[in-house]
Amino acid sequence: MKFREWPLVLFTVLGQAAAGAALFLVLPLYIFPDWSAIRGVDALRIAGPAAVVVLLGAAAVFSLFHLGRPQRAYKALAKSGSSWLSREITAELIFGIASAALAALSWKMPRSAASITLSVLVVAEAGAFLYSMARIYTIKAVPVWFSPATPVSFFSTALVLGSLIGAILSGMVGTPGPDQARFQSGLGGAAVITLGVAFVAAILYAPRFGIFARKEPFPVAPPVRGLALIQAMRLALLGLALAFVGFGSALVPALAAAFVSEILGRFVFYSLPAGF
Amino acid sequence: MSRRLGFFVDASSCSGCKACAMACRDKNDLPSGVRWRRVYEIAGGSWRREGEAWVPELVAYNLSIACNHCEKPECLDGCPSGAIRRREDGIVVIDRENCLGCRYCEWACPYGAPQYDEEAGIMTKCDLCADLVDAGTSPACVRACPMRALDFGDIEDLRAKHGGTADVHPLPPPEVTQPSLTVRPHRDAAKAREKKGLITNREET
Repeated sequence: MKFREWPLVLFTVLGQAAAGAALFLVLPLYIFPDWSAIRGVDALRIAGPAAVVVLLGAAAVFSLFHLGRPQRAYKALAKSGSSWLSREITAELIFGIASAALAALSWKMPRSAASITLSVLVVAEAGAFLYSMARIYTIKAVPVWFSPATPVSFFSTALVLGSLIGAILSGMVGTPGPDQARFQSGLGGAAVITLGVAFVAAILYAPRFGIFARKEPFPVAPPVRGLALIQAMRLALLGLALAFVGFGSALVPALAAAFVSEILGRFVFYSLPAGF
Repeated sequence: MSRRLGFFVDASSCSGCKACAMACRDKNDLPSGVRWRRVYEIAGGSWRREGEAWVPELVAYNLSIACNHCEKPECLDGCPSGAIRRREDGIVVIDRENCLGCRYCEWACPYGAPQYDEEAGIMTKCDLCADLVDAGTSPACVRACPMRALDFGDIEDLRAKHGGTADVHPLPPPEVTQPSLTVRPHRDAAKAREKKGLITNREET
């Protein structure tokens, strides 16, 4: 059967990367007082939220390709009182606008009270965006998604890609010096931890293939062939990314391997529902 | 209590002729690939050894399913634009002008009722022939069935008249959405669940 969810694969992976980047680049630089005083990272205060805006923008564009009537996309905001999909789009919109405003404010007043308040909003909306995205897919009608495996895999994507993007960006932007090196090494360490956790989480909780994943209670169709192999490739790439960061500090190849791994994992995720 | 319209399906007498699906397609002028009513062919089983002989232990029956106009329609609750609504008589309908074609209802419905119209870029589904019901007649599928295996009406009246259940293999557990559906199961239905009978005509459904 033709796979038609590529726009959603890219939307969710890039959107989760944006939420993760907000967690690792906005949270430490603005919210923790000790970190906010370090020298040489002011440029990151602009680049971090700007990167979030770019990732979210790309995610939003891909999401339009999923719609049959993209010109009606604005109507998705109509039912945020009852629909998790509507809440997700609302959170994404506020997350993006707040990130853009934070990047602009950081240009003029990098350490102002207003920018700290805005950074709290950015991180809160990143969390709301991730949470609502996970809730969209934990639906009873799709038993293979209706399990903790879904939020675990979504949050894991955000943490892995966010920490790697943060580590790479912190090495590219800002004034070279001990503070910047310390910050980048901290994010590199976070990437090792998140990749390790993601690897274990994928073995334990990957939808359908994880040890503790929920199995289909009423199978009505033979399973799609080849998904186990793709899941194995995903795990191998995640391990490769971990090796790149852990043994060589090769962050860019690690991000490439982790990104492809997440794309494969999401392909498997969207291929699982048997439908009726 | 308010009226709640739904369907009765007699799986014990359905011959699988698909006249209901054809009548639905014809009445609603459905494009290719859009199937508001689908007739599932369920089959399974194996061979069992009895002494020196191998005897077949097979199950095979048909199940005609459309939208069940559920009491707790997951499609309606999940729709981000509010394009799906329920009429006072319980019929769940899609407003074509408000649908963005996000297809979320396609996932949310455990019965596969919402169907994507590729050409129009929107979701569509069985509206229980609301125009015919409003005019005091029956839905096209009910009128077309040569076996009289389909009926429609208030779900409580249908249950009182025909009995039945919505917990029939391979339908999902009825607790999820509380469908306005009652089925008189085929004699093989219980065995089909035990033997994990599969839908064998997926390309048609």
